[in-house]
Amino acid sequence: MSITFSAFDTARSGMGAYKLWLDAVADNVANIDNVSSTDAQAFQERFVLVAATEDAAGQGTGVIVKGAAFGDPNGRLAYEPNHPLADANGMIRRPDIDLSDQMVYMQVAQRGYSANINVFERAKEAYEAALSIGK
Amino acid sequence: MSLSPISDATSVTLRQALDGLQQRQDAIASNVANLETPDYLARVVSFEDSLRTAVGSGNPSSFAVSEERSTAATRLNGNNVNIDNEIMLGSETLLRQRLVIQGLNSKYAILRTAIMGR
Repeated sequence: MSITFSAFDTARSGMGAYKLWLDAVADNVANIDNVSSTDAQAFQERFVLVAATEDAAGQGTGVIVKGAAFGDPNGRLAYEPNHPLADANGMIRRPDIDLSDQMVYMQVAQRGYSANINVFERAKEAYEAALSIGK
Repeated sequence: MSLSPISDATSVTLRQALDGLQQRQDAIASNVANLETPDYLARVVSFEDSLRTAVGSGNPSSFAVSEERSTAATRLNGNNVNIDNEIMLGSETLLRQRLVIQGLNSKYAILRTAIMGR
């Protein structure tokens, strides 16, 4: 058997990864209407990259956040000639983020977070039961 | 593990079962943590058959817990963790753990009676 109470660490790694994903989604949604001029980059959608981890014995120890990936810096061009940032052709740049995508990601991340809390609570019960051996 | 009146076949078997169940609980924790990790294949722990054989052969210590990757169909991101399965299996494993612990406690209660003589 691995370290005592190792299921706690595994559940914690999952909670951390999903929370970070939620943070990224929140950031994407907060910046979804950012406008920039055509000679600047648009706000880039943020994606969280994760990978599974395991210990020396090959047993799963959870998940680790590897880093972030970013969306298209070119964004989407829009024609808004009255916008103060519009160029000579009346174009501006908006981020290439889809709100419905973000909403789905938010749901998935939230459910994933809850599932890890569920595992944590169950692990706690199991460990409590184990501590009662011999009583 | 050698067998003695305190550590007899029953308690050794129960302890091995508890070990296997704990490993299953750990695998479930890992599966849930990697619910959306691309290309992650669910870990499946099995030990019941090995334990049954070991008990049948009269030597419950010679048992092994094996962990394999699930061969279930993967989703688009190459992941095949089934959350309903994991949660159900986790609850079931918890109940089994409680059951085994109750068995161990009864075993120890009998031992205590034998030692104290009342």
